[in-house]
Amino acid sequence: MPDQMHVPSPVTISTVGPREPMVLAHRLPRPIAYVMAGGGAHGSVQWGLLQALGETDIAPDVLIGTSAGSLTCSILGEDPLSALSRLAYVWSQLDIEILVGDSWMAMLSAATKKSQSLAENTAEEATLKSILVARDFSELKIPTAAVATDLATGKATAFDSGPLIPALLASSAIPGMLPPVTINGRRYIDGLASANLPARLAVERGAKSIVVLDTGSREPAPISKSATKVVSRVNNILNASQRRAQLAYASSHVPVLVLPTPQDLGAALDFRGTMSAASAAYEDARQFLFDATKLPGRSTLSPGLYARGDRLRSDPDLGQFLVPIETSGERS
Amino acid sequence: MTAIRFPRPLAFVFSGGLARAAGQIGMCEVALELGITPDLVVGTSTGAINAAVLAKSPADFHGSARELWHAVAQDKALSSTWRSTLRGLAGKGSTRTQTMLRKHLAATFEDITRDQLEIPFIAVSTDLESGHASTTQGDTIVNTLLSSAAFPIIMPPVSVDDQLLIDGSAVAGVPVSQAVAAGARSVIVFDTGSSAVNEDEVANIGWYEVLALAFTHLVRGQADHDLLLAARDIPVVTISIDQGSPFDLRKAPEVIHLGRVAASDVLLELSPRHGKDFRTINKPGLYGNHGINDH
Repeated sequence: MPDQMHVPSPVTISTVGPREPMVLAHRLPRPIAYVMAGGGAHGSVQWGLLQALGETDIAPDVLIGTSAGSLTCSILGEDPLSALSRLAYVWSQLDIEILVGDSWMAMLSAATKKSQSLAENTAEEATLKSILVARDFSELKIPTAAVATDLATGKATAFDSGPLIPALLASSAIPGMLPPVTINGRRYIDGLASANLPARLAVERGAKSIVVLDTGSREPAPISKSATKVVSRVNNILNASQRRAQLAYASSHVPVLVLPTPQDLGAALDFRGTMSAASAAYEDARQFLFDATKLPGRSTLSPGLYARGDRLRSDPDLGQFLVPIETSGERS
Repeated sequence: MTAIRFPRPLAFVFSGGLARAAGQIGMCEVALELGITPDLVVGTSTGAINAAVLAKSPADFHGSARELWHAVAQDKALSSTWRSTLRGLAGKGSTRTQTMLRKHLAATFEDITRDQLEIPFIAVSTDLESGHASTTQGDTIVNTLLSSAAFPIIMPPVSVDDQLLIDGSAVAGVPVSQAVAAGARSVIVFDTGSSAVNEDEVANIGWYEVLALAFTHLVRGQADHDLLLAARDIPVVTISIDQGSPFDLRKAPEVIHLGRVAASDVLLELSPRHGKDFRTINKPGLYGNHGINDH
């Protein structure tokens, strides 16, 4: 259980009375894809983002997600009406033991043997089966895809039919930690190795506009010579360049709305800050969506990267696609 | 007069590839034998070592490159610490690996500096702090190469001025955008290929090998993106091999041969057609047998 209550603050306490949804859907060509990135415990941010999106008139036509994002997609795809309250429940309960079990001794002995992972995925499998009623992609109300990486070829692969749980296990099989999952005779690992933010796949699968639900990021750690710190830093650098490549590809083809996410989160497998991260994400995303309703014009948006401009303006890959959405100062 | 011509300046680009970079020796030999010479050489990681051997003296490339790789391949101590430190279990092994590699590099480069090379040379490292590529590192060529090839876990980071540098593969596995930034109007990439392996090779691998493979897929995805971007503006010829273990230094002679075969195939394909005397590769695009993952 979380050691502290985190309740989203009543931002709109001053606007009494019935409220209309923010009107934005007519600016987004259809089909509209929600693209959800992976990020372990940071996945709770997507719950906050979905709350904010729930206050607009946007409804997704397709969902595609990687790792933690594939679970959020499945919960939303299974039943959009109950998704927010179910996500609240999920994120208040999820912790590392629920995902990898509590057998640290078993992990240590696995480290010295030639096993394919340090932990088993039986605990995660049980958790997924308790969260989701659906067992097959065809049972989801919104077409949903889960992205995993083909272990041998490195190819990003979107699963959108057949058994749901194995695809979600594959999509979130953190390399080294959780075992690769065999589907149709091939082994798959976490989509993070090929497309942690699968915007390119969304375009290739026919999306005409994209809403990006990222997971936020950690405060950068101090640089050090220790091997583990170096590896973790390199991993961040590679993830950042993969993310830029995905966003550059997608925003050269379709309008891509990138919701702002917190940049000061804890470790990706630290589940203690999930509720406060979600409520911070909710407030920022809500203001962002309100500011997006003020975009000039009435017709559908042209291809580009619609995002907060502060950090992207000077980006060598993304700056050219940026359509900055600045805050109006008004409260949403 | 060479039969295959390129818009100048032409850069030879050497990808990172750990042990597989030996294949670049064979590739570069074939290009030189056909009279194709670079105006600029750019390399990442172990590819930077090959690039520097070429930049030092193109006329001596064949002899000195093979000598260096044969010495490395026969150094049993280097091969075994290289492989054992990869498991991440021998923290101090990485410093030993670096010392051993320094000895081999010093035999080839002594203490020469960048301005003593015959061809302009760029080595790419990763600046850990900024997460960007660094191309100005090191006083001597040996120090430059050690920072470019400081592959995480296998070797420790290298401090240069106030930067902490590691292997350039993290930002530029195929340093083609550095070649373009330096003014190249065409490039030939000596590429150690896609990160893909066969399904049966992953059937029984250990957790650390799963981790290493995921890492090489990440690196490759970034490199593929850079290749495709460069190919929008200039002709990019890739000569790729996707065989040969990245982690087994002892196989260098076989891998050199694979490189020769790949280069002969690609350059034959680009040769003049129908009795013409020469062919100029002018049009931007991706030529050759690139191993780009289709995603």
